[in-house]
Amino acid sequence: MAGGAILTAVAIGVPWFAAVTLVAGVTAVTRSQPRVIGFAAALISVVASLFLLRAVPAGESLKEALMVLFSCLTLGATLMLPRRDCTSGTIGGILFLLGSTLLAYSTDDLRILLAAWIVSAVPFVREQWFGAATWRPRLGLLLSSAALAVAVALIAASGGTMSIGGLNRTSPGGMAVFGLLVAAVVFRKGICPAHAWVADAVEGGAAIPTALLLNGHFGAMLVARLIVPLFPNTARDLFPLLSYLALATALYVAIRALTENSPRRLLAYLALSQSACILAGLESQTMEGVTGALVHWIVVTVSTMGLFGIVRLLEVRFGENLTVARHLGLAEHAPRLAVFFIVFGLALVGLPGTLSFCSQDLLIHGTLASHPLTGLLLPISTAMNAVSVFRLFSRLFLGRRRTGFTVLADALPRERWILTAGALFVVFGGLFPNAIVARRAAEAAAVEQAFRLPEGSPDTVAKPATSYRESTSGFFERTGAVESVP
Amino acid sequence: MDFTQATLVFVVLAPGVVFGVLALLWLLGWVPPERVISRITGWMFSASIIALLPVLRSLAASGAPAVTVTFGNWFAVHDYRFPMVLMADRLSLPFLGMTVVLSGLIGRFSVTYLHREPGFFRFFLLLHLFAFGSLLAFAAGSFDLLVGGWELVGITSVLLIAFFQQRTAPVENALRVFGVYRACDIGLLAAVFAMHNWAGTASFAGGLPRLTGYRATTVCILLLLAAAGKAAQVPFSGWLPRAMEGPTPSSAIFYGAISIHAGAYLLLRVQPMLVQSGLASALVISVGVATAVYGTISGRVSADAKSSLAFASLTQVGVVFVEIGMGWKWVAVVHILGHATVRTLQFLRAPSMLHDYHQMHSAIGGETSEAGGYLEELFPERMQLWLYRWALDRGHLDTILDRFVIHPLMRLSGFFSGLDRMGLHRPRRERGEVVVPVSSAAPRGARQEGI
Amino acid sequence: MEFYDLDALPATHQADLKRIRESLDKARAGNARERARRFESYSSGDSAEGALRHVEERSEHLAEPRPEYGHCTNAVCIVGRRSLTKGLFLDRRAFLASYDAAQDPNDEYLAAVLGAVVPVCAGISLEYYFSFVDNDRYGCGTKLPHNVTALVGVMDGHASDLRTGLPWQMVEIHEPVRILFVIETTPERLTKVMDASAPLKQLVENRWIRVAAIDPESGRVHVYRDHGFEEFEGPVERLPVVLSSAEWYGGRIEHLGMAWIQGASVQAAGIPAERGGR
Repeated sequence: MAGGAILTAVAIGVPWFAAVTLVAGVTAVTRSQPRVIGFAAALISVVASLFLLRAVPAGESLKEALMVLFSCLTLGATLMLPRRDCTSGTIGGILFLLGSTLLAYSTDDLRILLAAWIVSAVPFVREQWFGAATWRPRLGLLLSSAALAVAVALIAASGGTMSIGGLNRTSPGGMAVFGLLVAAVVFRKGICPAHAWVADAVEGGAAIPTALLLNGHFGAMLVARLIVPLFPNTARDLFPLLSYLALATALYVAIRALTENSPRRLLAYLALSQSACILAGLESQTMEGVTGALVHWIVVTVSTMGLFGIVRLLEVRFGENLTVARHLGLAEHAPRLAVFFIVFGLALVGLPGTLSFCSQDLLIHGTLASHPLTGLLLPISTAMNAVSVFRLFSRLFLGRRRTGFTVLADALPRERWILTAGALFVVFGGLFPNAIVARRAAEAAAVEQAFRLPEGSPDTVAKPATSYRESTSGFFERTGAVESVP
Repeated sequence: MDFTQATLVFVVLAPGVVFGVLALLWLLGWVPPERVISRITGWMFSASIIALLPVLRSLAASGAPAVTVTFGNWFAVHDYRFPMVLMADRLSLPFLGMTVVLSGLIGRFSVTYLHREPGFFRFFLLLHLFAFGSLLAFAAGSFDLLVGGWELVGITSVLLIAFFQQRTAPVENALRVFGVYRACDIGLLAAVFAMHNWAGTASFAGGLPRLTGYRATTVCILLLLAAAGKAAQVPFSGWLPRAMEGPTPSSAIFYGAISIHAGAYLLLRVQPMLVQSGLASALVISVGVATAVYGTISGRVSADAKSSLAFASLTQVGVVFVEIGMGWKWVAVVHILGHATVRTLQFLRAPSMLHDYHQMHSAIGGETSEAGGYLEELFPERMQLWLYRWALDRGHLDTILDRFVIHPLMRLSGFFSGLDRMGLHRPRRERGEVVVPVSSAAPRGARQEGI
Repeated sequence: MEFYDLDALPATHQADLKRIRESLDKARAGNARERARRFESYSSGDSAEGALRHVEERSEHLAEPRPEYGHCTNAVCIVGRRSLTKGLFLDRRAFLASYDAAQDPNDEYLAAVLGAVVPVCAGISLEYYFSFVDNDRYGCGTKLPHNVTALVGVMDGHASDLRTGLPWQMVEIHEPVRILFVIETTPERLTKVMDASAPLKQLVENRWIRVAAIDPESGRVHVYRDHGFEEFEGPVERLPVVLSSAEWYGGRIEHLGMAWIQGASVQAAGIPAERGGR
């Protein structure tokens, strides 16, 4: 355990230390090579998280898997950041966000979780940092932090431990705390009616850091790690309502995106719609739904990071005021970026051969099983998102070629490598999904454990976690021989 | 896995592997020259055609119902499994053969047709992906896998419609086609879920899932929705003439041969369930009849070669739907095979149509007499005029779709956008758009857009 | 090649017919080889018979968007005696019209020939010129999306305006120059004929075409510039002399300069090289 603590400290501390040195501009190195420092710090976090992941058994690995995912995302962000954005302040802010997110993922103490929640939102408050010009992002983040703060205060007031493991199944503070936690999730994640701040934040603020903030998926993490374990009975009763809300958000935002003409806002809506699907899956109380939600989490984060990165790269090359009211024809200048865009875009909405085909499959089965008619909203909103993705792609890249660009417009080598890595991950994950799905199924089982009623009551929900061993038994099962996945 | 199974796997996977290798090479920065691509394509399709022969022999000789290859589960969670089963039985083998032969033919045609085109590599990449998708759909042993192939066919056909990406019209039409495909695929997804829920499995390798009564009817109607969308039946027929924006070989193979018959294949697959349910059969027959009538009337006023071929194709597929609804399975299969071959030929001859007509006129020494017109004579004159206008607007299907589905959706989206803007006091500065107030010196409604 | 009325041929001349047929077939094959050199999909190592097969197959191939290049690369029109250009390798870039100034004292044949040849060749040349220079506006774009409409024209894809002009596949190797007419007569007679015909005058004065007169006796060349004929002083390149045309064009796909093919009557001195310069 001590090793785990040290690794966690390294994974969190190194980015924070690097962030401080970058922001303070202490040495000449930090001033002139911020990207290298950022890359190194993120790489250390990735390695530390990987070691942590290896050390835990498959059923309890949700935190560590999320840490690996987010540090890989940050690594990719440091590579993809265009030179114009690559100041020590920006890299410092990104590393700061990395550290606080990893802290939120890994901690077991409620107070530290609250602190990480608030601290991760700090860089997005001021406009000079990553913030947007309008007031809505600030308000959304403030309200979610306030709700969480009051909830933690109430839990503290009701006595008992402040550790999440210790509070398991105790429903501390009752309905009030549950309601406040749900409010925190709603505001942080952007569920209707609190969805507007997300698009504002992405449009007005720095694109890639805001995408990282959104891809932290703190709301989903709160549901999976806090709400479900601590309030199983209330969750079981009230989650159908919450999943209606999530599905309604997915549909509302999908419709909203159909006529959006700003690429950034459109991508924000797409990300929002698909992450509402994650929440719907988590709240579906079926094994398929929760597993699908966890797999979809991975897909949505990687794809949306790729998409936001490509849009930022396009803005840097072709002007900040990109609008898709008309065709721009940029594929002539940047064919590789176009291909990456369509791959990530279709990977977001369920192209067969990508990981989201499996996750959409699981999600649809999960939500339809628990809500037969409203569950249909999920494939409907995904279909609309697919149309929006294709519309964005065709307006940005196809159509009459714009002339007058003399810069070398296609992807630079470092951008190409990281985008290729992301695309290959999504595609290979789609072709051989069992490794990812099996681990997520194990974690889902752990989450589902919490939904189980105490002994003696009829069991209305999922079976226990032992079945995950069957699903890890291999991708190709020849007759008579069962190969195991390492 | 014995030899026959291995050949089946080879046939299905070969185009996908070629696509993957070519795509990877392109990503790494090397575009193979035209000769290399044409040789690879030729060898691959020839090998696939030869590789189907053992499967054919096995089915014909041994009398086994199917050649099945099981790969276990692609992934499984708890009770839910996604089985990977490939199956070639007497129904899917003709389709597999048709796909491989016609794709190879189109590949050979395209090598010459697209010579020196900038999009040569892109076309062949998409052709291979399409071949893989349709082979997967036809050889799938379960509906889950069929969905995978189905969607791949959809996305490749849309990307090929947008092949001439310099012009706006193909791109906008491709978007419309994509919208229709995605909307109708919801029916397929819902049907697969229903089968899982009610019968526990969506696999048909050992026989169709056992469903009765209203369950069978529901599944059949959902599948009819998906099939009607893919096969451009009424009321989704508006997209087929628009899909003619793509290059001729892709029009031939998609809308003459393979993609348009995929819907019919889906219905043929569940035909045992379909005949049990009177309501579903009646619906299939009525959709087919409506499409056949619509295609005939609209086709008569088509002035250009490709849309008249599209409508002719539509009519025949409508008749195929009627045959399926009536329960004449093998009639439908033979009809499909014959129609695919003839239509592919007609599409491929469409670019040289003027030349063919000149040859024919010089051979017979004059123009041909005006054909047809006898059916129109049956109607009173006012009716003829009305029918003419109706046919010219292609049955108003696109207009109805626009007015009752698309525009309300867009208005709803705009309304939501207004809702979102409520909290902001000043007019929202859209990215790249500066709204000039009326009172200023600029002309009324002047806008200055960025870029 | 089709021969008609063969039943009217007397038996004594069958051998001649056979000889003619063989010569014509050899000429066809050689011509096919010369023309096929510009096709990218033709492998230049082929024999003449192979080239003939290739060219015939191209004309019948359903999928071929470039059955032949037609008048592509046209650059010059030579109106005069055939002896002027005998043995000259013109790379299929010239229109040739026969005219003998010595037998035309009143210039009426000249007027007739020019009245027929100039509008046609100028039209062809301008058609290729504009379709090459702006293929989307003046030409009809690439052939591939074309959709035959009403059996009278083509439009792009599903719905578009009717396209006019030449497709890209026809003009892709064209060199956009204004056609040069070289007429074997004196500048004075030529000016007289030009002034008498309004369309001809319009074409020449507005510089849609370029005109040069080559004197039948002296061989001096006068070029039309600035509303009058001026003597062409410029350096006269000596053209290379090769044994056969195959030697000159063998294996090369690009535009070629002119050359003298030995074996024909050679008048190397004094004949200017007509490059597309002026």
